[in-house]
Amino acid sequence: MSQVKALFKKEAIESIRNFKLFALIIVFMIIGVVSPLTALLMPDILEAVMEDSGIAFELPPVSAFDSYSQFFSNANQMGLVILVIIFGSILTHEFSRNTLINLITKGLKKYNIILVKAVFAALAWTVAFVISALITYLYTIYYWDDEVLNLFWAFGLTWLFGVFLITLIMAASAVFRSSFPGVLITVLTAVIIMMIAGIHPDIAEFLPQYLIGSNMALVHGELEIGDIIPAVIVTIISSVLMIVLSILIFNKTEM
Amino acid sequence: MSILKIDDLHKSFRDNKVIGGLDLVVEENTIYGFIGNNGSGKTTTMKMVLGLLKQDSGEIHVNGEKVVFGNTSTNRHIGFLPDVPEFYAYMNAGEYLELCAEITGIKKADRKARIDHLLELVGLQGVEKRIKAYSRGMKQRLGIAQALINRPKLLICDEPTSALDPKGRKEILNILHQVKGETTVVFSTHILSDVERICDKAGILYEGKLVQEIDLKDGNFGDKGIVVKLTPEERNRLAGDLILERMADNMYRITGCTLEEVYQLLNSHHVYPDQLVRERKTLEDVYLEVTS
Repeated sequence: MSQVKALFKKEAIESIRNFKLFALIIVFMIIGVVSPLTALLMPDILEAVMEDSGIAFELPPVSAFDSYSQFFSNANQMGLVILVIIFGSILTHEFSRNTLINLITKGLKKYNIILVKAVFAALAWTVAFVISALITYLYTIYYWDDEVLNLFWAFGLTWLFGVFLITLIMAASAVFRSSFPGVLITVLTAVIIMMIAGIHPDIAEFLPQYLIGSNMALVHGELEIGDIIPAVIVTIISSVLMIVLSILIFNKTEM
Repeated sequence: MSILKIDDLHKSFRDNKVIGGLDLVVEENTIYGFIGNNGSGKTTTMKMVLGLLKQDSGEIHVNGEKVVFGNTSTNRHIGFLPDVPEFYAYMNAGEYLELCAEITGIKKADRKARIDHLLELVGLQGVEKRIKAYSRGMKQRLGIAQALINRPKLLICDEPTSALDPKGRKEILNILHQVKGETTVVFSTHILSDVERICDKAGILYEGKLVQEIDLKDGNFGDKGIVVKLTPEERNRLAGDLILERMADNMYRITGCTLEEVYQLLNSHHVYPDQLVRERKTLEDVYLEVTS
């Protein structure tokens, strides 16, 4: 237990002093602020553009759905890319700088390294995402009073996909060790494979990718919670397997 | 009692055989110099002792316990100083040692005293700046402190002085000499003067095997030859009976004879040189002999 505590403290100090946590929270705060703001200002922006170009047509009124649509669009694309960039090197930089040798030769269990790093990254992601979602939620209920459905679940899907990406990073890091580009390429390849596989309708709803494509459908009520459960279960199982795989590979790795 | 015992160790990286049948025993409370050329397998051997690399065959025992690749429990007996120790640059020395102490399971009540003692031992007490601002020598000293945090029975240092300036080398050797009473030190190097200076015993690793062990306590590595100063005429008189290797003006090395035999020959030829020196082998001579 003291190893876990010590490593956790080390990860916290590292992410604070290297501004990683700060950067992640700032990016997601911006997403949280910008999403409802974009929805709010979009009619004015479009109106100004259309007036300049002489086109005239009536825009539908902006609603809470537009705010959440902007949020999920930003969080699922830019947000997740930033998450992978910030935490993609969480293990590879330890390998490339040989900083783990001193600790492993002191009896630090390799599985503790994987578990603590994964849990820490997931916690940091949770903090940043919750702040972001909360900002968007508060702005949205301030400006609009539309009734939205399954909002908690919709937020939860993006969060869970983020956790899945973190576990994918850990598995790729255990394989590629000191290659940060290797990790990025693996994560990107996995996402592309899932996108391609998702074209087949029978497979799509079982893929982790389905989670970040279903946020707005849940909010609109076009999908029921039961519809996304298979993808949630597959994502959770895949995440656990990814961590187990990371530990098994790391334990067999010569240093 | 032996703290480290290696039996018939083999290790290859693909087709490249690095260690081929290494046997080694290190006794407790000694300083053992592990000598070898660059690429001779010193680091590979040390990493196998630490369970960081998996041997192809053979056994390693530390303090009587078998080393197992992966998370070996024998590391609780060992402190390790890598050749280029790497730390978390955003920490200071105290914070880093605190991390190491927590990982090794030192009780909170004992940590501060241990860390203060080690910082004093390596001359880093009161240094508050972060490790990223440390010189190479300071990092090496911090490396020794972290390696000693768990009061190891065996301290393994991989070329601890090879990248340091003379002052830094002296500091590290002094520290290693100081800790000899508390722990057994095995350090690898190709700097023979460092070995001569602090080691009790040295082993020469060549082509993956321990080709010779040398007791350094008395500093006697055997005779290299007898150096005499001879006039050209004296040289001509002796040439038929002795192998004379010219070293410098009128100075010749006689090899293949005992001192007694040389005296008898000189006397029988009525040669009485101005200078006659019994030349001892240096560690370098021994090293070059067995590795050439």
